[in-house]
Amino acid sequence: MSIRHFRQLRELELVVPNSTYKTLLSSVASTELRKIVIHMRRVRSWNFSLKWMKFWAPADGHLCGLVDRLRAKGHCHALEVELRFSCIEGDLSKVDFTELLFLPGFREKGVVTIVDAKNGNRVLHSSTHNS
Amino acid sequence: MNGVVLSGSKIHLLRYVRSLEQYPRTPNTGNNYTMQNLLEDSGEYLSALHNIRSLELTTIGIEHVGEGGFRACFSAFRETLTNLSLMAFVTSFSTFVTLVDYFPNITTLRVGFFSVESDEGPVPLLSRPLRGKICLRDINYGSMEFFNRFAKLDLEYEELVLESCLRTTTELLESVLRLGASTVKYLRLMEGVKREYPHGTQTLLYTPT
Repeated sequence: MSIRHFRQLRELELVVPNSTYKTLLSSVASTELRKIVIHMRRVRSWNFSLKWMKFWAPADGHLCGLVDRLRAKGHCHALEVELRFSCIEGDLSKVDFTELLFLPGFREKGVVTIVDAKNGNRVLHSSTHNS
Repeated sequence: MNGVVLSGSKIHLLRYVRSLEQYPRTPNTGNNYTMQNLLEDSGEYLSALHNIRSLELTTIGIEHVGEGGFRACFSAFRETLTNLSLMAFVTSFSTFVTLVDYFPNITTLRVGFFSVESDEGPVPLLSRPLRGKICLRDINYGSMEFFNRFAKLDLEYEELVLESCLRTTTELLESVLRLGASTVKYLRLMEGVKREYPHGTQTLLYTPT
């Protein structure tokens, strides 16, 4: 399974965790890519999310690898990764996202945005990329 | 729709209707409800709906009526329709192509939970490429042949959305990804792949430890 033929792809939206996201990310070949939206499902609370570090660490590596690979092909856009969470419990607006460092490697290469899927509010926007 | 507008003097009000959702006359009629039923039930009013933007046909058998049949039902809003939604329908591939091609200005096509009958004739050619956004909902493995044929048409979709699957397999997802791959700018996959197990289907989820 591959999306390498999507040469004009600008935005990719995925639901994780599932078995396909790594395969899809590794096959992106569009140098027009601007944004990846990742929907996290089955997140009960932010305390629970700490258990997902086993997911976040490799995900960070996959996204960094994607940026490096696309840049080698001439990609010149600041890639944004938007994480959409829908917590069953708790209020996202009360979470200090500066301490919860999602995707630290990718933040050096692109922009990470965290959105509360319940109301669409953006609760974090990192702009530390050096595009 | 019968009985909604009683007076002929008020039928002109239908021109202000923008969205039309068709459901079977009575519950549980399933796909026995056909295009012919739709025309018999609603033909008088359909011809007065001059500004419909959105049409949803649900639980209907779309039989082979040709362009003339579709003209009899939908000619009033052929040019204004931009959103076409077909849910829980049964049709042949050629009839589906004829219906979709009948409306020249569709920007969003949504299809879901359908089954395809054998063709009664050759697949018609599209009069123009299909563009805009295509959304797929509640598709299953039986839809794969449909997508494989659909992908061979002249497709120039800009946005491809997989909203949900009943049972997703890698093969099904691959067939979906063939729809307009060279032109799609926005790809939204809201469903993962499920692996077939000997005793059923299981979603492949990453499980935190």
